[in-house]
Amino acid sequence: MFLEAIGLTLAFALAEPSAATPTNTAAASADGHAATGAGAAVVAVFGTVVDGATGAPIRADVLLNGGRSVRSDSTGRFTLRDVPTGTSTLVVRAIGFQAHSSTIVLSDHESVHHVVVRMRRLTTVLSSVNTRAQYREREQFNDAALTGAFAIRSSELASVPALGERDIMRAVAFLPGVAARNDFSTSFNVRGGEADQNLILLDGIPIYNPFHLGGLFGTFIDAAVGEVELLTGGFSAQHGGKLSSVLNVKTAEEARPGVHGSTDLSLLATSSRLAGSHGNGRLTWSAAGRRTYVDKVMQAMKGADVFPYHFQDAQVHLRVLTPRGGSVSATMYTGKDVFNGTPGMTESVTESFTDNRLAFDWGNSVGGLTYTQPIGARSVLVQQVSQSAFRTTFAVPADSITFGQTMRDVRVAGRVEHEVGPHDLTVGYEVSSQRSRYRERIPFSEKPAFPDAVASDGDTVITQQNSVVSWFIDDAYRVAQRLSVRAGLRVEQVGRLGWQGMSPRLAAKYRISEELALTASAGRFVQWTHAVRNEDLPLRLYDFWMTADEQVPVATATHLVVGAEQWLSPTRFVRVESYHKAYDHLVEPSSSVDPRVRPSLLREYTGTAYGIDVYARQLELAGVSGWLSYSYALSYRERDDLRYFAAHDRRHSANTVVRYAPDDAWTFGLHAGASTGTPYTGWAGHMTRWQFDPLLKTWAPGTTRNDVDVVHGERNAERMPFYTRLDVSVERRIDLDWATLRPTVSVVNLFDRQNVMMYALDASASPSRIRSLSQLPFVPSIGMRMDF
Amino acid sequence: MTTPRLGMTASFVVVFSAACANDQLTTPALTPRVVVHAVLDAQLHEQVILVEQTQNGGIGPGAKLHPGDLVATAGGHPVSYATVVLHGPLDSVVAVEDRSLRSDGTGAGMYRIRTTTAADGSPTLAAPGVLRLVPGEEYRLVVKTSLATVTGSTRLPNVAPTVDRAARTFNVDRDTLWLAQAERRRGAPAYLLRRIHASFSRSDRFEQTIAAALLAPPPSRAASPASASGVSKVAPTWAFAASHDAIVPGTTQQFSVVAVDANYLRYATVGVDPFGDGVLGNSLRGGVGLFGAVSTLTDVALDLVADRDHALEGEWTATSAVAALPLQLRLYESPRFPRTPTHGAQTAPRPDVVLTGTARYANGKFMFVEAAQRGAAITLVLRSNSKSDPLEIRGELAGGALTLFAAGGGVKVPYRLQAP
Repeated sequence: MFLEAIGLTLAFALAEPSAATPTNTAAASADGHAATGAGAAVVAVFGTVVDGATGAPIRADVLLNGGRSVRSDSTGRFTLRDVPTGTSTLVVRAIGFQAHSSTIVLSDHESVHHVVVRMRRLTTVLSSVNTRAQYREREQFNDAALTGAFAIRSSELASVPALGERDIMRAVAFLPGVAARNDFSTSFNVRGGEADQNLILLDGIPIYNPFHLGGLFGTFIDAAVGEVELLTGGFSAQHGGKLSSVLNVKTAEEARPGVHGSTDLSLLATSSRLAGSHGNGRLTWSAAGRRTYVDKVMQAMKGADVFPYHFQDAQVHLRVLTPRGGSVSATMYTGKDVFNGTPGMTESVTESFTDNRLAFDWGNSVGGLTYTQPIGARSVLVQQVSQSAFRTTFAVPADSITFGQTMRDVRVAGRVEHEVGPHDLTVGYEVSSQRSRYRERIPFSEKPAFPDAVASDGDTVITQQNSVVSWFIDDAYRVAQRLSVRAGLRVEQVGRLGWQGMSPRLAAKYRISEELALTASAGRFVQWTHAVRNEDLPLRLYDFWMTADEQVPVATATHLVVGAEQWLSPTRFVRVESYHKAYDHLVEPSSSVDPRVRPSLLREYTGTAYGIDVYARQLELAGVSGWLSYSYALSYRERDDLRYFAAHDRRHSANTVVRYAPDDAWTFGLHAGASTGTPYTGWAGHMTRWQFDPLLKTWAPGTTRNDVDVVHGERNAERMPFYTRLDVSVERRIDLDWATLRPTVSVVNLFDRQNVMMYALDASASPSRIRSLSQLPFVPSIGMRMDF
Repeated sequence: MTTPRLGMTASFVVVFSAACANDQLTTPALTPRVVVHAVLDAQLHEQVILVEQTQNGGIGPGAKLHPGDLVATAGGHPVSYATVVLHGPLDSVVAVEDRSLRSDGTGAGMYRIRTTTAADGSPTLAAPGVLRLVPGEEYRLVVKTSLATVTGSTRLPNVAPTVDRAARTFNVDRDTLWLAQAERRRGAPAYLLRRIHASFSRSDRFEQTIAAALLAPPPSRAASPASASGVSKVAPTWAFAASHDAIVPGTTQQFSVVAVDANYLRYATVGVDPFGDGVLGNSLRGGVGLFGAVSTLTDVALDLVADRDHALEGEWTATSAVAALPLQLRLYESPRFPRTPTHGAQTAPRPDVVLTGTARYANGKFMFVEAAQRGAAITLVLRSNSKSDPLEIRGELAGGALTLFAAGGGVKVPYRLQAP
């Protein structure tokens, strides 16, 4: 009631005078007459496309009188504006459904007309090709002035060979312009940007560290993921706060009436999802959970707590369609990694402590409420309230050592989408508050672990609080039949720092033909929260976050993207994009090993990245689908007049992801990847650290242990060897009366290619030796999904 | 069904390359780099530049370090025949390797440049082959070797290059030591503050600003009632305040202030970072090491005394020479620099007064003394250096007369107080 009241209030303020009380919903009749001529009154048609058998909403193309078309959203809803009164014909097409044609009669006495289209499912999947329904990619090609946009459906995610657990973050890293640092990391770098520059959203809510076990697994539970959208550059003014990309993960809506579920069993974990749809899709909900059980298995096998680590997630989503065409949805997620014990396998890490016992946990909690309400015939209001928090604690109780951080982000955001002639105008705001609290407690003795000038008292607390107010306007303007432009402006004010900036965005698409378009985009982007990380480190468990203040700058970037997209067939296209990005005020800690965090010791650097991405996509549901990606990239950083390659720089990178489903029973998956190695800082040997005494006027070798230095080479001047990896999977579908079983066998790194992850100098040997540590070896795994 | 030729073809290509991959991990070799150490000293007329290369494996201890052959005798790999050029704002000079001037082959990797420092910044020219150093100016070093060309730059601290080397008697209770021409000497990024008390204590400390007062009496206990330790919690306004507990009267200590550039500061103060980008504090490009600059401001020896407001304070001379007892004693106590005895402090009752000073024996040996008085009883703890075992001597102070007992108490030697 409260939200409805808000909607009514805002509707009063924003709705057009012609908005009237909706008429009763009625099924479209099967026959009718042609539309009346020009000059008649116009009506807005609000419609819903549902599965005639289940009532589940369907994404579909709706064609009016054989001319203009719109696409229904994830709730099955669509809006056709300025429909002349009289008789009109609607043709609705959706993948997997028979094309539906119906006639509607619009009278002069109504301004809004509601219609429900009930689709009939095709009996064979192959026929779906004949429906000629538009894929999301084709829809974007037709309508949107976008660059670097990718959409992956859950069915395709499932066919990417998995490392124990299906993981959308790993699948995303196979897209062009995207690269994971190594096999052990699901955090990714987009077009030369640092990993903390990705805005990762769960149903529109930001999530800070969406990783488990140092990035080996992503946060998102596969069964709960519906669709993944990735924007790799030049994105619109609706998104802000991060420099490189937007990854929007949308929770799957249950399409079938009643309650259904699925369970995924793997060698590492079990995840389950229960979901339901009630009242013809008016209420949908889902709840999913996951827990790893390696700790329990090891305990049962060894009889001891040899691997006291696990992670767990829970995700809940709820959506209610409101009577006036709106919806209210809620998303909640909580995940936690827990390490508590005396691990036998990590003795080398903990041997320096009095008692080897560690208490170590970290995790995210996310919650948000979204209200969507059409206002009149031309506007939609969206309001969202959300909170995202990340917490971590590292403690060695016996030695009174504690590190901990809490990062909390509370935000209220909203937008109004309004259609004015050829303009789709969006005006919105975002008010957010970030509060971080970092505490370290290190008892200092005569020989502290990190003796340097930064040493402070043993108990340090750093708190930061920031507020950011952002306004944006975004106009998708169809200038002509072949030319569409998207222009926007985002104004951001970072309160703590008193920083204000304007971020203009501009994108354009020119369609040379029905199948070929040229695209371009440019924009400025800002980021006020930073992960305190040194990108040169190949592994990290998680990141500390800091927000902009007097000592932590607001980072900025400019993007320039130009590209072309050619559709070769209704299900196949090739996209080529080149980009240039310039970064300013990036920060990193001055030490890569000192765990203490000091805003005053962050050092600034600038960066440049440019490259070309090639994306060849096959979109068929059955048969073969997947993509081929190739990226040429160059990314370097500059600090103190020194230029060096970014640690994630890969000159060439190619990935092939293929899903092959010869029939309903078998699905084969393949991923093949090859890339040039990432840079690393090599070694030159040892040197004497001479000291000049300005009073004695003499040179003398250093007298302490640190005065004989291991000398590195130039920063990131060396490069790892070429990287290749082949992963395969096969899935068998077994239909039972009560459930569908999908046993899966996956193999990661089929040829056991020993790709180098990092090198380490063994300085204890004389002469010194360099040792290499490899990435994932040959890893077979089995799993089972059960749907009911 | 459409045949996806493009995707399949590409897949085969990638699969083939993966199948043919070499399974052996490759381990790269070490790539030697040039190591250069150079510091321009405004007070020197000859600057030494050390040029060597990194080596594979730990650097073992060389033979005894020879000042004329530093790199080789330290176990390093000197780089000879390098072209070492120091560029100033107006001129440049080429360094000469010591080895080229000697017939015995020593001095490899040691290059020398002659300089002269302009005391007043006047634009006069230096002699041929001599580079003129001007405070505040930037200097660039270029070292060309067969391995790499190393460059670096430094700015000579913008301070007057005159050094205060006066020796003074300094009363810690009343006197203040000022930095001469302080305003002209504050143009450096940082300052090295060094205090040396013979072989007993030494401290080096870097400060980014320097107070005009180098030494000053801290507020007394009465003036700072909040401080139980007797040391004021008010922010110190004198440069050597951090060493207040070691500035004890009755001793002679050296106080030095050196202006240093940012490179020197960073190289001397950075910590350890095995994943760092090169040598910590490296100020060179194309190689590693240091190119810095320093200029000494003050280097004074102070004979520290205090007000004589206690019967035991002053200079005592033995009335008869006994080998086991000092011939002369200098003892002072300072309410501004209160001191807790460092020997036997845990067990003995708290003394009435603690004094510090110096003892000189008949054989010329000096020892540092801490004296504690409890009633008439006197305990002296003497050390020849900071690591030596303390020597304890007992005595008494009665009627203004000091008597010390030799070991076993069989010999008692009266001491006579010298007039102030």
